[in-house]
Amino acid sequence: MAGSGTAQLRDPSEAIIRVENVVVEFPAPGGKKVHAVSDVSFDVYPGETLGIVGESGCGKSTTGRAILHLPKPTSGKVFFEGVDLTSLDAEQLRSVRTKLQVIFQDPISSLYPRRTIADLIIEPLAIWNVGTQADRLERARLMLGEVNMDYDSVSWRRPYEFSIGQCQRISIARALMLNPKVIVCDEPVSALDVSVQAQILNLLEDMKRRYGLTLLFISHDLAVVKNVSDRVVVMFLGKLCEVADAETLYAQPSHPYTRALLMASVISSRAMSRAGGQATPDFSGEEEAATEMPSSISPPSGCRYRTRCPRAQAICAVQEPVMRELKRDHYVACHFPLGAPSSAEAADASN
Amino acid sequence: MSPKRHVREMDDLDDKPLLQVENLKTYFQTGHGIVKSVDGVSFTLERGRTLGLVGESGSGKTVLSQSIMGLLPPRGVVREGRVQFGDVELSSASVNELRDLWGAQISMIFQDPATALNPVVRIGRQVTESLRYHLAMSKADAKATAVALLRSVGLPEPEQRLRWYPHQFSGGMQQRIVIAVAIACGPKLLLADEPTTGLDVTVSAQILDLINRLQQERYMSVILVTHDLGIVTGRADDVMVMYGGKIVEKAPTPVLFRDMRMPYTEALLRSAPRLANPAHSRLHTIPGSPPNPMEWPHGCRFAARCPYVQPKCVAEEPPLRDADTPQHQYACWFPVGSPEGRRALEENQAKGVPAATGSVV
Repeated sequence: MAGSGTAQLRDPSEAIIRVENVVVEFPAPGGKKVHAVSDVSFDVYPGETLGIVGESGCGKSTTGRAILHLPKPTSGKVFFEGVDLTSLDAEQLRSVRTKLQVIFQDPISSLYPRRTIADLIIEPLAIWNVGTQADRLERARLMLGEVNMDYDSVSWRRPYEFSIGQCQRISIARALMLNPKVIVCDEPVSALDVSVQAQILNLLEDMKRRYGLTLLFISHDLAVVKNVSDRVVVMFLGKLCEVADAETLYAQPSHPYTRALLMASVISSRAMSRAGGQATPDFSGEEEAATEMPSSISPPSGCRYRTRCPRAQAICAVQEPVMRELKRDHYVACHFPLGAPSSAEAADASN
Repeated sequence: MSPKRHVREMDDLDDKPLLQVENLKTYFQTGHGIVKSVDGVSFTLERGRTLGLVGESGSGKTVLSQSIMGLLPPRGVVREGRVQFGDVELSSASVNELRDLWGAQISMIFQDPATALNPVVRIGRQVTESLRYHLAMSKADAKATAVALLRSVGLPEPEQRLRWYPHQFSGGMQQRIVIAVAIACGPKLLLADEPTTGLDVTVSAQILDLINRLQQERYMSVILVTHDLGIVTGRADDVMVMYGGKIVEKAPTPVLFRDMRMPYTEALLRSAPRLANPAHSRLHTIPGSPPNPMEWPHGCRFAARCPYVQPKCVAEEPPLRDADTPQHQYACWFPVGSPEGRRALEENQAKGVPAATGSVV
């Protein structure tokens, strides 16, 4: 992987979100830089759910935040409905952001503890001066109902009175108040127990269908991402490894890192599937050479995954692999993808 | 810290269980009332076995492991029942007696390695501390042992890293160090409380494999506490499922996954997203939320959320009883897969009982 390139981008006129060559860097001590996201490109069609998976430190959350300009990307472009957000001034960006909402991992810390639920939920409307107070409360009632909470019994309470799953419902209701088009879900179920996780995932699916939402679903959990996503992006150390629709990616992972991730989570999944009478594909193969995340301050040359990659060759240290289409709508950034000719052979063939 | 040699010999243990817990209760007195976190738990653990303890937040699994370990505060806690570890009765042991056992005979791995390690002490000293204290090793011996231990948990270049501080390691490496500390004196029982919850999937798989390998090499007993049924598969010999402060099902791992009897176990398994599911598959949910540990409901504690629920469940608490499959126990009046269970489920579905419809509080 861990490559650049834009082969995976589709028709720009149809995409609701299009991220082009986005780079996010943070200052590090000694004048160095943390290369959190390095030249990442992808797009999302309206009504689609794009899953972004990777381990901690891979830049998946930073990518999600870069779309919302929290903070603004160091370079690159982010298009929302054809408008380049990086070119907007602060006021324009503020008004566009009403269409882009976010749900965070820890719902308790994302709800201000001293305010009532009604206050928290109508805040977006109050900021934008939408309707009268009565209209706002009416909408709060509707949205809380949508997330299966009873307005009369919760509106006057404060966040600490609720469980973490209930707080996540409130966060979802709040995100929906302004009728957004896109919701960035940053690890929305990672802090939850499985039974509550299932409730929230089903709820997100319902809301998506009912309000025609487009979701960016960021998670480290492959099984969760598989269950919600149409298309999946695998990230490693600030770069994209593989982009494909969910079924293809999980059935035929082509990037060695994707397979390593799947191998790590498949053991448990297989036993569970047996209990549920389903088959889980077999991903066994070479083991990873290491599992440490390389430094994002001085990332490895060439392919950033090469220090862990069981298939790494000399070329991987020299030349960064570029995203290329392996099969229809299945893109991988690897010199030696699984079950496919290496990039050198592919180049020869095309010549 | 005077070096002492007092590791009790327990060779006579091989013929009886290492750990016997009988009707253990742990209640906390709080300003709002009494929280009955662990409410009557009994089980035995043989030497060299791995027991998975599975439950959701609030089920009492962590308090249970802390009660076994004797880590609860001296005040405000009501304790009942027995914890027999070899020939020692842990629940009545004094702190001094416990100190001789902690690290030497019983060790614990905590969820968050960053807070389990002392941030201002070099890791070398943290690994050698118990070796010097319990085994009265010389400095040089302890250091050599520490290097061997760190190597066996997969820490690269242990000789150089002895002088490092915890913050210089990644979370996965810190957890390896915590494991090295825990196994240093060759404990007979290792309690691992959510050892991989904060770690990435690839690292998590390695840490669990490591615990498994050490368990086999050292013939330890392990209690693996987790909220994730997935990680106990293939790693635990037996699994106990906890709900509402009680054990609701216990079985050898393959039996539990194949022939679970308790509707809660079934619901828990079904609600986990799987890799084999197609995209946008609707997940099974467990309606409602866990019961309040200050006032456990009458009857079966899962009744309010159970798709099999019948009037008997609310009236009478089901005891933990033996299933047809060996070493399998469950607490349910209308078990999964039994004729009465099937009938109960069908009746409920026909009536459209709320608990079965997936509605949410």
